[in-house]
Amino acid sequence: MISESLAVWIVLGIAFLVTALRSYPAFRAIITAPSSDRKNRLGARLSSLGAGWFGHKRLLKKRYSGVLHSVVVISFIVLLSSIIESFGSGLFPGFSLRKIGGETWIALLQEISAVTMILAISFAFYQRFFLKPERFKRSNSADAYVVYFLILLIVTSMMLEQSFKLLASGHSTYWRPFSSITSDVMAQIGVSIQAASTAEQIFYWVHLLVILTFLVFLPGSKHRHMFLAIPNIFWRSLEPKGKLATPNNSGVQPGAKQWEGFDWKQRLDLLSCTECGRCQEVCPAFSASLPLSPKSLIMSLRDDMLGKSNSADGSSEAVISPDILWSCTTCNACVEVCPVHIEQMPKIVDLRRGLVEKGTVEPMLQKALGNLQQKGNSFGKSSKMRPRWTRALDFDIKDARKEPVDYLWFVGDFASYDPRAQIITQNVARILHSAGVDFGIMFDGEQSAGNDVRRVGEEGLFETLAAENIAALEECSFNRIITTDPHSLNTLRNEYPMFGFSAEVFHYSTVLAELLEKGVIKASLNDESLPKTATYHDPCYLGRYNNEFEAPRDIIKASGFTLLDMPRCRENSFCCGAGGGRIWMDDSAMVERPSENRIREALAVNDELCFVVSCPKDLVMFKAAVQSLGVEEKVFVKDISELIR
Amino acid sequence: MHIAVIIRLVPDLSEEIEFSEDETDVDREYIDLMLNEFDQHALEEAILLKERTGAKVTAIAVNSDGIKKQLRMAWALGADDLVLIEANELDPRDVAATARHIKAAVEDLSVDLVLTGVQTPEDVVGQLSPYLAGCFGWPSVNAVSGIVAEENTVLVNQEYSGGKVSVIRVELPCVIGVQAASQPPRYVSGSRLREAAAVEIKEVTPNNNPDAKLSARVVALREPETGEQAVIFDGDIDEVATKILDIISNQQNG
Amino acid sequence: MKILVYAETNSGSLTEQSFSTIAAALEISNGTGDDSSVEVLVCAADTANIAASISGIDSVICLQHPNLTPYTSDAHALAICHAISEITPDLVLFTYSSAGIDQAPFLSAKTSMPLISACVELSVDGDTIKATAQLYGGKLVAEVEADLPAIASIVPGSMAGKVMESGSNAPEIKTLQVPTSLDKNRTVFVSASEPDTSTVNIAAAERILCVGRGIGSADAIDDMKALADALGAELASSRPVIDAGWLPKERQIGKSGNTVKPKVYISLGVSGAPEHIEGMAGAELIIAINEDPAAPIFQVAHYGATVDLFDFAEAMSEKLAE
Repeated sequence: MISESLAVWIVLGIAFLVTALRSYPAFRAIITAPSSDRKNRLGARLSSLGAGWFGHKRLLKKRYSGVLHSVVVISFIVLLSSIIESFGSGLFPGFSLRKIGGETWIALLQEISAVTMILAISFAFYQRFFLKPERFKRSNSADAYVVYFLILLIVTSMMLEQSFKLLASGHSTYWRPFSSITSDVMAQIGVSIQAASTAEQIFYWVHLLVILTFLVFLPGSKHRHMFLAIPNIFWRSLEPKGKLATPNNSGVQPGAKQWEGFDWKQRLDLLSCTECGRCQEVCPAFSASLPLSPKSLIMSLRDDMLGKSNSADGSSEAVISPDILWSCTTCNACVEVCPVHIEQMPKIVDLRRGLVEKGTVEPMLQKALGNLQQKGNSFGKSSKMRPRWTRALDFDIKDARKEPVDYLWFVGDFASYDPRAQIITQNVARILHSAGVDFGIMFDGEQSAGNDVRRVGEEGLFETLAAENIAALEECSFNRIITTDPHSLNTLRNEYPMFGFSAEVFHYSTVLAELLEKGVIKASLNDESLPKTATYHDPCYLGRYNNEFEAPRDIIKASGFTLLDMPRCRENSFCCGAGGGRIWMDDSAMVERPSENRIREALAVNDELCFVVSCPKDLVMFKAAVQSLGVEEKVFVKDISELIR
Repeated sequence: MHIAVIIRLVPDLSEEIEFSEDETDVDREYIDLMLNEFDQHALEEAILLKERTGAKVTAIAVNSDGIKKQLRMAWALGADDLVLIEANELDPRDVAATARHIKAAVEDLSVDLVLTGVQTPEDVVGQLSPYLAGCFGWPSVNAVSGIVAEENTVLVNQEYSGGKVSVIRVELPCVIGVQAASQPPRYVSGSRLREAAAVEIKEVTPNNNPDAKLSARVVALREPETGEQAVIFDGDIDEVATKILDIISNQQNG
Repeated sequence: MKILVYAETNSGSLTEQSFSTIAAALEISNGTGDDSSVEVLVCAADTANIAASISGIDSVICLQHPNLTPYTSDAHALAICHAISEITPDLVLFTYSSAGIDQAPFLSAKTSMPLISACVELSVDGDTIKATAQLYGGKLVAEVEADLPAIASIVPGSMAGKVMESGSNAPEIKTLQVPTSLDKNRTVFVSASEPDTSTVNIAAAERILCVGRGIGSADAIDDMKALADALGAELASSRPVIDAGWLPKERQIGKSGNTVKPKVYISLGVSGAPEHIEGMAGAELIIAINEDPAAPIFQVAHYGATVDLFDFAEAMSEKLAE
């Protein structure tokens, strides 16, 4: 007859072995991954870990789930002590936490945590089973229910063990209030000391075995995030949000799986996913009923990596179809909300790079890229047409290539070529001119900055455009760059430095706000017939990516508007749908365009209002949305420059 | 099999039109130039043949501003060799002079099949493919929408008006004027184009220096007289749609 | 002046386009005022019936050989070159078609006769021919001159042409000796196909909704089909849409597709390249929608609008639903 201690060792050994075997696919995926340079800035990483993990900053944005999860985590940490006690005493007879308070304050905390844990799991079950939040659609619910069940089993078996232990020893204690109550009840119904002793033994083993079952279950469950969340958050990218990583492998092997190009951190991302669906919830493509869900993307890649692909024949190389990949607007909302800091969007760009290399490019996009290759702009118009918008002005704009300027205005494709955006460009020029700002443009020397070219996966074309723009910029003499286009701003500021170019890049809202403050210009509601209420749409590439939220709001408030923000504002702004090259692609597959969804959100704020934008693509998208929704009498799309007198 | 593809630049008149001083041509300094669309198809078909049969593809062009970039693009798509033919003061519309230049270059390369686009937007004095065939004394089939390579022949689809198509077996060597490739011209990625920047282009200078005079002479270039002007509606879409529906129903009744 | 017209045949008779070229030849001939003749060259396996179908001209020149039917470029090139050397015409006319492109430049290279391609107008002035030819998808025209002897290819249906008088003297039939070179044919006919008109017959439709490259992608086709149905029209397209695979070949209008003469023709996003206009210029009522006011389609249209075609299609659908 083996001793109880040996039995615990054996059972532990078996559990560890099985867990290790089950963990092997994940472990192997990480070990065989290409390397990546993440081992920097340890200090910054450690400090942000505090707010992120302990503070549950992102999780608490959803009050119900956030609080629940915090309770679960705290309870778990406390209950770790009971795991240590159970295993410790089993493996090493005589081991006990008694000396440090295992029967006093630790016991009390364990009792309280057990109850809070049971309550929290019950509320979680209630939410999942009865409330059925949308974001859980397509998540693996069975996995979640198993976890709830196992946790409840662990906690109740622990409590029962303690209850029977108290009954067997004959006295209850204030330090274990709930176990004592149960113990008294059992005494009342006539459970004998003998039976209690046996039951204590049984539930000790149940407790142990369920914990080990949970351990063995973990590698195949999304609950592995328990161990992976901290390292995943710790090793997240500390680069500016608007800077994409350069491709880490030059050759895409034909027939390779899509995740094979991912480095170890990207693979860790895949494993850390909790299937919470916050990313899916905020994704503009998903809301438009396009095939993309960031959550499903991560889950599919993860399953494929672990050899659990859902593809019918199991042999298809690509679990993520081109349709899914082309749906993304690269708005980064998914990355912004993920509680474990997974980077979904950069993976989409990585996979797009593979499609571009193979030539699997959506036809309209192919046309736009061809235009960019041949003419340096997505419109396919000649470079001589780029400065055409200047003809409507009654003054000359300085040629930054020929004379020094204070501000070099990088105009951008849309602001230059699209007739609706040109009006605003001309407006801004007049404002800057009458404010006495010393500015110039590069006329036909400018080409598309390449922000969306890069995000479409056309890294080579991006490098060409950047090199040519930088060469042109280096010929000019200027102090700062100003632009009305957040996309151009993003790549000029965050990505062009990769090629050795550095300059301060300003969004025109910052410059206008400064001029406003100095009293050089005035803001006002220029048109009495406009509604007095306004809302502001934060452009993805200005707000979420580059953390600029206040300047445009200052201008709106200074104009005398009552500014009411939409629920999805600032870093949670909802994308207009144009980014990531989507404005160059066919959108007839959409059920409801993101821009229309957004206008409806605005109307819910006030049934008549000005919708203020600060990006040329936003202007174009929202004007079109207002028209197709037929609400021209209620929503007035205005650029912030139109608020300047 | 060795395939030669001839690519040409043509004026892009999708925006403004500027005439040369003597108004016999467009102003090629000012107007943007683009790769002739049918030549793109010829190139795609050549690459497809290479993928299917392992043929060698040489892209050939007569020198003009901007043609080197297109030759490099041909390499990025899959062409093996690039040849640039020096020519002085060649009017791109002069098919006779162009053909003589190309004949000299092709003769040195032992080519089996010459592909080029069936037409260009400005071939008023003749199409290159059949003209080149006439210079060589080779057969030529034009308005072709698909080529299959065989041992010493190619099988081509020749298209006629009314949607009729004939399948014809042509002896090599021959010249084919391509109207449509078997699949739409593929996309070439920017990174591949960057690799192409370093590729060598072989430059050849023909011995004969043909005179630049066109055998047929372009005397003037102008915009066409528009016949009875179409009545153009503008403005509010709903009004336009209503007016047009009225016209249609009147037509039906009247 | 001797004018020789190369006639194209199909299924044992002259093509309609060839009749149009012959009529153009007659117009040119009448324009010279002096003593000029129009002869028609027929190359076929059996020329008898074909020759008998032509009237109003001076003579029909027959070259008969089994390799000449069905048409293949090399056989006909040999035949034409032989005929030219025997007849020595001053002006050789071709139809601007696939065969015309096969033959005219080839002949020009072989004989060094100058060639003017895609003529919409042609006249003879002394020893020079003066022609107006189309370029750049119809956006521009060129005035071109060449010294005789010369070759020209005529855009079908472009020159008014004199209607051939029936009942006038039957033309003289001359038969040429067949050159032995024709026995060897480097372009061998294998098979032919015609578009399947059982499912859809665009040429017979009374109303046609024609879409062009401007619709952007295959995803738009369903909406266009719905609009066509609402209009009681057949859905057709210009060549780029067919090439991209968004519609089957049977629905193509243009030079290499269907030639149509419907009561109503509405185009969305069609630019109006000559090859397309060739296929629909005979429509009774032509309405063109294209955002580019310079699109050549407006030259043949009766009515048009420079609005966004999707907005227009949507507005039309709404009104038709009412």
